[in-house]
Amino acid sequence: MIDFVRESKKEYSLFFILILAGLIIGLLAFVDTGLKGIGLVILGIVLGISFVFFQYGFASGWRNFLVSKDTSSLTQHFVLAGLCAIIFIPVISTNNNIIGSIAPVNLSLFIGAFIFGIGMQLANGCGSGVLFNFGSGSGRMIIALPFFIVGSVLGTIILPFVLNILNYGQIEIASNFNVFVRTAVNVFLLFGLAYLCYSYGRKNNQKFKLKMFYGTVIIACLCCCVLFVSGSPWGVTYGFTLWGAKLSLAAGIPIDTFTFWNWAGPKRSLENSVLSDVSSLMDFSLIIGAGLAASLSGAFAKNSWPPTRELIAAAIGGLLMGIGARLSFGCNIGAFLAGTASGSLHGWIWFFMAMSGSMVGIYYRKVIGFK
Amino acid sequence: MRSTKYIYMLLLVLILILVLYDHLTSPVMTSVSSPSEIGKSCAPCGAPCLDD
Repeated sequence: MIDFVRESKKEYSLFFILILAGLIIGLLAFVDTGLKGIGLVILGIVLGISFVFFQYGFASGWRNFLVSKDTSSLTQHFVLAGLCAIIFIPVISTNNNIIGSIAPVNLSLFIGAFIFGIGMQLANGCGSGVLFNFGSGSGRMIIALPFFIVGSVLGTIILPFVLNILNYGQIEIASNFNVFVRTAVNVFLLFGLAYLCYSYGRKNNQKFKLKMFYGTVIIACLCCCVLFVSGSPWGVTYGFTLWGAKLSLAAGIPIDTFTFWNWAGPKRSLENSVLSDVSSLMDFSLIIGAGLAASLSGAFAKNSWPPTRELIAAAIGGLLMGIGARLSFGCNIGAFLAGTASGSLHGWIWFFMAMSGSMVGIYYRKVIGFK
Repeated sequence: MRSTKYIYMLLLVLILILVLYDHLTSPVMTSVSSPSEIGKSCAPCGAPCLDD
């Protein structure tokens, strides 16, 4: 964890630029969308700060599990999803104005999550990881993010063609039972896996990461706040898709004639301001929050420009994650965390396929020469 | 490393300009929304349901 007190080399100029950016976006969001807009900006900034402060990532944690059988991060990820599920499932089930992250189980989910897993290891960051590391000034993510955006636009072109292949529709776990049992089953599954990971780690003398646990609890609380304020669980990658589509339009590519962008939701977000989209607003705010934390902690000053092969891997990884995220309806946050916490089967399938893809990604990391 | 910082600051300012340009030239909804909120959507990205 970054020590905010002892680290020196604070980047005050950057800090003030980020404060200015935060104020501008916050003000615009408040003027147009009131408390909901400013609330999401604040939550995004706090999430960004939290992710940097606790160095909360998925890609390295999953790699530690696959390479070193270190389950400490994986334990936290299941605890995070379990904590969210305690709130998400009852709220989604009883409130018509709040929508869960429930997506269909189809072929594109399996393939997309697998591709995402490969990309996640090559780029060394998932959706949220790319975002907060970009915000912290990581050279690798400065390259990965634009390719993520390009990949997600490519994903929107592919998705309509593959959406209905082997499509079994939305499947909710224990959907035949009442909300109490449904919540209990999903929470039991998530905490059960967390306990298995924890027990395995204890047998192998792995230390429980208490500081990361605090991060888990704080991020779970923030995710619940996002659900209440925005009306849907936190998602990262749709924002990238929308930015890519808007840039494509500006470059003269008639992306608005493509099938994906004629579906009601995407069509509306493409036609309106980028700040009217929950995911985009949260993403901008998270970048600002991460930047603020990194500029004051000294973490920003430590970033050196990576070697070319790392940048190429980041570009390929970003591209794969972009395509994968659209085909599989999200990333570690929008599909795995929000999906499992909403009681949707697609979240679990996403997890297992992305973990499988991570194995391939780790293999290619070795080929490239990464540790 | 200085170069990383300058590239980052340049990108940050560029993103901010693009956001402002898009915001000032596009219609604005009175509420922030997700793509799954309208239409008969079956995924967070707004993908339609199987029967559509």
